[in-house]
Amino acid sequence: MKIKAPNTALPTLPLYTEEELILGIRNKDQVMFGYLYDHYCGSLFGIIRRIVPEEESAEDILQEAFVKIWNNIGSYDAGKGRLFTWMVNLTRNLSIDHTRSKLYKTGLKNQGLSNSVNKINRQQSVAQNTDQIGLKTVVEKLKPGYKELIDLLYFGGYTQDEVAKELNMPLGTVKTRTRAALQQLRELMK
Amino acid sequence: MNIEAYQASGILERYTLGLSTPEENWEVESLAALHPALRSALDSLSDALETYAKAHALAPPARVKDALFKAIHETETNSIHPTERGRIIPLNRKSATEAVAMPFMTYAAAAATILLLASAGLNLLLYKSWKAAEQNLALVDTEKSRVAGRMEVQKASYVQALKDLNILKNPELVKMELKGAALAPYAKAMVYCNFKTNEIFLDVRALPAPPDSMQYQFWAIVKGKPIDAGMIDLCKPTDTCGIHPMNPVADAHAFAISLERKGGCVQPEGQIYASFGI
Repeated sequence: MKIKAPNTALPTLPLYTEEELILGIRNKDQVMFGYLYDHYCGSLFGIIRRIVPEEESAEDILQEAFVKIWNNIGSYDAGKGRLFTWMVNLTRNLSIDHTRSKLYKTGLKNQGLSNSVNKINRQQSVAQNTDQIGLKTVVEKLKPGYKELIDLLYFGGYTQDEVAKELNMPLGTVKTRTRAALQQLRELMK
Repeated sequence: MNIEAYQASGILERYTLGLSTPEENWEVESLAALHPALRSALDSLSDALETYAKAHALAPPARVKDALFKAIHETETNSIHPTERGRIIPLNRKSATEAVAMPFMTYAAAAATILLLASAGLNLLLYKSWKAAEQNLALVDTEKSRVAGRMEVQKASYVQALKDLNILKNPELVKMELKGAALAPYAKAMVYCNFKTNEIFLDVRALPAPPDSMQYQFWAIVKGKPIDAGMIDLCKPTDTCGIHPMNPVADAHAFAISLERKGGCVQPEGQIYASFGI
């Protein structure tokens, strides 16, 4: 897949501050919303694709997520955290809901989420821009166990309990490692 | 609150990963608002994960953006019911049914708003009727104490009237009227005298109010000589005066009331205000 301008380009220079974006979208400014989409669709789509393997469903969820962002931006409270965190939570919940209902419908419930996540992990050979390559090399510096943990929790929609079962690890260890993993990630991203 | 210990519990990481419970979320957000150290720790975690997500970004096909803006444009331009805007335009045929978002929360919010308004209205109504009842009660209360006061007065005057009646019932009493002197023409008092028992009763009807240092004294005249028959305590206008027993004096043939210094005198010194038989 090739990235085509202007629709899916990830702007390198922010044109608006987060406050301006939020205010603009609250006032139903579609240009601002387009900027928000361009800026975050890749990151959010990356997360969706980790949870929802089918490309078509993932695209639907991405659209649904942004419609929700457009409609519910008023309920986002900047005092409580970053806009991106809010958007990720919203998107991930949609994805997990989709996967769970899908697994249930197709009788695959017992297999859990792991299969779909692993499948997606193997599909991660999609083209990336230069920004991403730089980031990728940073991420690669994460301890392998840590990366797996973050992937399961952040992208996989796993709870810490589920991770403990999946990795056959005591819950306490999962909790300690989660903290250590994010600490390392934070250090790497500095 | 030990912020380091709180952070060491790993709650911030779980919060940032979206793993915490709604109660924990509320706790983290409240504490972060209070402690800038927590706020910046949260922000740096969020930023790290944002970068992590960016590192794993996948560009979606352009048709998603087109469909998204079509959906938004459609709902923004012809939305009659704002709660229904943002209908999903299915990108793929098979997912058409899944994509329509049921605005359950919107309905719930609307229902809650209606209930809240109804409750507020009812509260206002109840508050008003409570206020009115309270005012009525206060009125009734005032009225009650007024009636009670009047009852007291009535009772006192009834008791006095009974006493007076008991005195006047005696057929042996001789009634005499003391008339005002020239300096107080309207002064008036009644004297009831029992010449067998020497009892004397005085009923002052009208006398000028005496100065503070002065008091009226009642005199019985026996063989031309005034004899102290007692001091007169004038009642206040509201009080019930009635008939009062005075000092018994034998063989009195005349009576007088004079204004004397407080406590009275052995012999009258002041002017006479009312008299009988002089």
